[in-house]
Amino acid sequence: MSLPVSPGATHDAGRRAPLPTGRPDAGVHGLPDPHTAIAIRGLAKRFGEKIAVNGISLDVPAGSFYGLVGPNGAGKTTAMSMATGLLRPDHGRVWVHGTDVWEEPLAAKRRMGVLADGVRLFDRLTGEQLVTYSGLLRGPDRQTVAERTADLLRVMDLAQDAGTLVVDYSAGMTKKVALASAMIHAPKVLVLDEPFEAVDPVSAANIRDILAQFVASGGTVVVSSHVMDLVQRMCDHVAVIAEGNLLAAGTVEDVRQGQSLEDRFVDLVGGRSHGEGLSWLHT
Amino acid sequence: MVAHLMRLKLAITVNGWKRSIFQLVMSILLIAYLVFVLAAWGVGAAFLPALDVQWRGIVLTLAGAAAVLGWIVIPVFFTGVDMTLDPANFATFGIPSRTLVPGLALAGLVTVPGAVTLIAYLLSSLAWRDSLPAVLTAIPTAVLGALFCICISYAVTGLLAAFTGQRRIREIVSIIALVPLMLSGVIFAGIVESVEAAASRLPGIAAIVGWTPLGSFTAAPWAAAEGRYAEALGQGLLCLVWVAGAVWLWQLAVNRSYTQVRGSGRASRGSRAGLGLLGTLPGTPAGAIAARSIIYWLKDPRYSASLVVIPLMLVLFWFLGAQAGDYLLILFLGPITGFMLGYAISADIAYDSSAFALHVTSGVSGRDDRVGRVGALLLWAVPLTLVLTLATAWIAGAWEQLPGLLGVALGALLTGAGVSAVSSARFIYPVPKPGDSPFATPEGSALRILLVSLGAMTVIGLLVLPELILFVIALLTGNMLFQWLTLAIGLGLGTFLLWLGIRLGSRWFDRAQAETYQSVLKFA
Repeated sequence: MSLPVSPGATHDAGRRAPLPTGRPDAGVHGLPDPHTAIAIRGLAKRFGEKIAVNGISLDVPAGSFYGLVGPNGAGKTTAMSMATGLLRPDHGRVWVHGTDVWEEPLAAKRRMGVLADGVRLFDRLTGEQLVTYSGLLRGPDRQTVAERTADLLRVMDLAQDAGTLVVDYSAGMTKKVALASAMIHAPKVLVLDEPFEAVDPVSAANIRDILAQFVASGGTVVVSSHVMDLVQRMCDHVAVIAEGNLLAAGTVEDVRQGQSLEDRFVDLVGGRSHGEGLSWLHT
Repeated sequence: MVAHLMRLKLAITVNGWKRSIFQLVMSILLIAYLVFVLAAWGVGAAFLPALDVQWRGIVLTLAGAAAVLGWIVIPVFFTGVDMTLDPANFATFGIPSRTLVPGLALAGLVTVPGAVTLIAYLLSSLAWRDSLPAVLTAIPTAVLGALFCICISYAVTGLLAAFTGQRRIREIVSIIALVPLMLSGVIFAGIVESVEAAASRLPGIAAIVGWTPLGSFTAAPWAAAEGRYAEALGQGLLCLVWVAGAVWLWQLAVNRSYTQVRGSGRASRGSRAGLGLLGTLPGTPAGAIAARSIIYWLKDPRYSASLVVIPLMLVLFWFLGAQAGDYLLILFLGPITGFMLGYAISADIAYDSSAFALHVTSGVSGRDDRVGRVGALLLWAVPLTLVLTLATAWIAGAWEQLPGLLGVALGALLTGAGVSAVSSARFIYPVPKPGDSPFATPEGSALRILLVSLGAMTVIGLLVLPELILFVIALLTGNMLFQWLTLAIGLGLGTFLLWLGIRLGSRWFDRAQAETYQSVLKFA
């Protein structure tokens, strides 16, 4: 293992580690370039005794397909919530194309499309109504919203169910309609928390194509995922987070160092148990 | 198994307290209050031997019947049942419902309402302390009675939930079920014309109730005290039958929820296409929010239930008026409707649950959010209140009172909407989740909901005092000037308070959007 573990990392449960207050821009220097899609500096959040995110600094270049990987409870969702305006950070700042998310929230949010994980939708609306609704909330005129809604429902393969209430959608359809709602205002950056969970392989492939097209046309996508294979195939950049710390970040090639991303991830994060396992389970 | 389930229930309760100091404090207050009520009941029961045996029996039988009815009615309509030990959660453990249900029933005795019921039943045997056979009957039937209450309550809610598994049916049932409750006053008034007639009928009623599941638990000791031992034995055996029946029904419900896959039911195809209201109202953020809110008023039973109440109230008041011979009572309907509707959106963001994330990530401004939600309400609530007030004035033939009534009704509506514009952004508390079983209540939140809603109602009440006082003066003096003044102040002050509420609510919304969302998330 050659990568440095960030100084705040601690594995002692219950020890109260200090929040990084000294240099909020530790790691990456200087103010962010406005061409950087998302710039994060010294982002930190504590819930009571537990430090969920421990001073993360990260640059997501414009036009990249960025994967965020980490074990359960690593702080991925917390970090994404802070970057998208859902959770106020204790420390640190986030810029979206040079606009501070917490100082100019309205302008920053207009540039982002967000798919939050495990969040309800306004599911008493039909699919078409929901996508239109989230379009109108962001301000484009009705004509544009109507055209884009039709397009999005078509590529998401939801056109047939446009008139069905979202509450009656399957899990995969719900995910797709949520994704459509996140893209309706033609954002520059898409932040997607677990976009492939509960989505069938065909829909997942369709979504991947849509995202790849979005990146090809200059957009930026950040996805979090547990599935290393998927990230390795799909993303060009990747960041590894564990216990609230950024363990590695960069292009996929740089991070995996010749190994498969999954092996490299296990190396970085640790926690594989070796030994007998559950001997009584073998009959 | 029983000890296991009881320990589980206790552990869950204690963990809830650890998670939130507020919940702990609320629980302590609630328990203190209940101890007080129980003490009062105990003292009352201890003094009952002063009455002759027949009246003691009548009082206790009817009180017992009220307790059983309460256990059936209150969970269905008001609180929902405590689902911490939802049988569906045990589905994967493969415990036969034959073992699980009795275990859950006994575990129900260690919940607050269960324990209170048991203690209350036991305390009421104090009323029979002058008769040994009665006491000996009272104690076992008390235990059976408490068990029956718990079992029948879970059985009824369980069966309702299980057999109305499909979302739409379930929602309709929960709304229709309100009808008999709202009209129960009318039905009761129809049965009992006057207090004296009622008093002379009570012994007969009690004697009949004593042979039903409602009353036999408290009627058996009455029979024993009067020396009717055969009847006492019969009623005692009936108690066993009732408990067994309730357990059987509950098992039925559990089996049903075991085998039924949880879900929202089959998707219904071919619903209406098109945008509906979203295409009609202005294509701005505020317009979209208003359209969405109105759609929810129609499609979400948590909202539409409060709409059903209004025509029911009209019928109720009209019926009471028809019985009394004059319709003055019905004049209250306009102001009550205004008050209720204004207050109805005071937890709007909490009702969104985590779907509110969309508003946060879209960067909706406080003004758009507040105006949209309040506008959606006023768009139909103002005409409705107006028409209703006119109708009631017409029914009662009280046209001189109309300006004042309109002033109070619209004043209450506008003021209530203004208060709601602040409170729905500022105070987030647990509410039934979207699409949840209408019979489930968020754990440990009843008192908190009561406090917040009581607070909001008090504030609205204080803010409409000016028009209310003017209206009272108008009624006392009969001076038309005050009628018109009430109207002017009601509209003027109401509009001002609405503007102020939207302004304050917007400011809070903008400043604490993320925090508001996080507290919604905590209850989601």
